[in-house]
Amino acid sequence: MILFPERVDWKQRIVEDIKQKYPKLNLITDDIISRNAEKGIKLFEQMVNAISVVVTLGAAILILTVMLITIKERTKEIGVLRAIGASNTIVIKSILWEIFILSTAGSILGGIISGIVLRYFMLENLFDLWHILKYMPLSIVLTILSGVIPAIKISRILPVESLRYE
Amino acid sequence: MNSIISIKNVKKQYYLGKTIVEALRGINLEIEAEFYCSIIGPSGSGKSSLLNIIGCIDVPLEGEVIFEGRNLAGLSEKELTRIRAEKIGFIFQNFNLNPILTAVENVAIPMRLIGERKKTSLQKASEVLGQVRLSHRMNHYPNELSGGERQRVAIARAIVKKPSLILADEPTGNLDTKTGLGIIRLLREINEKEDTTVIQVTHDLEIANLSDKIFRLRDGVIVDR
Repeated sequence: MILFPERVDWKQRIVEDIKQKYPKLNLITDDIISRNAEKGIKLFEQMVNAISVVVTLGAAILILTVMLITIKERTKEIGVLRAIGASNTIVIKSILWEIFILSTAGSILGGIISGIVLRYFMLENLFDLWHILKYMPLSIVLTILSGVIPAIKISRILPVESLRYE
Repeated sequence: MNSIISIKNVKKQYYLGKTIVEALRGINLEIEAEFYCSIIGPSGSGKSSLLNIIGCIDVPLEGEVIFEGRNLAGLSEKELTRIRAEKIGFIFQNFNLNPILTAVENVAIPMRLIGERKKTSLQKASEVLGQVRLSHRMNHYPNELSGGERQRVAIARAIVKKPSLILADEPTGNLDTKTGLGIIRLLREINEKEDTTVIQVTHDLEIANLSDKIFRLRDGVIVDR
């Protein structure tokens, strides 16, 4: 049964009367409904945040693995550079600089694609430029950090060992 | 004449899995400045190991390497890098040019590494490419060049910073006889005109015979000089 009070200020009185007369009746008011809905939204937000953290961590591990493989494949090239006089610092700097350029280009491209998807391919227009811009530096920093370990690792190999790498 | 390199009782070992391979077993040699020398010997005799130690890209297990009066044994990696950057030019059998850079950009790399500006480096690189008769191929990528042309680019890369020593590891190994002889003549010309010491590793006697001095290696020791 659904009750619609004629006046809003009667709501509380009607609820109290019903509770008194029918204590075993399961009574649900719009306050309870909205509180439950709020709880549901909060739970959903928490789940989305947890998924975002897991996805970000997964992406970071993936980027780190890709960096390790990509940089390792260039061992010989780095060996040649070291042999002709590049220092450890130059090798690390050039690798990180390259990662910076690639991650910035990737972030911009990703931002554009997600902007288009949010604007034109969703049921509602969810496009929010600030939201996209705010995550760009995070992805750039994350990618650069993922490249630090492989860059340091490879710069420490003796040039002669790098040159022998096939 | 002064010696540019003096090597005393140099030993080098490698691990091949769990087996120890003695690449050099007490090498003693002295190389005069401005000489054109060849190190010859069969595969596995230690030629490249010796060249790598002279070029500061590897360190000996024992012994002394004195380059232009400085003992390399006590130097840090940073100081060895500085010597490589300023004093030594490397030429490899496989050319080892950067495929995404043009000939002139490849030649400019060593100049950039010693802190020269991009414009000056490219200008100097184009001059040196002229010296190795490759001005017309300056803006070509390595995959657009023949083997001989690639090696001439590699030579230009080695001489652009005017090093006192050029080390060539089998510089004609991937070239036909005629092109190979052309490359050696070019190296000889640089040695005579620029007063640069050249040490090359080869197993080709015909090419070695064009040198001022030949060191023959066998099983990690010099058997003839």
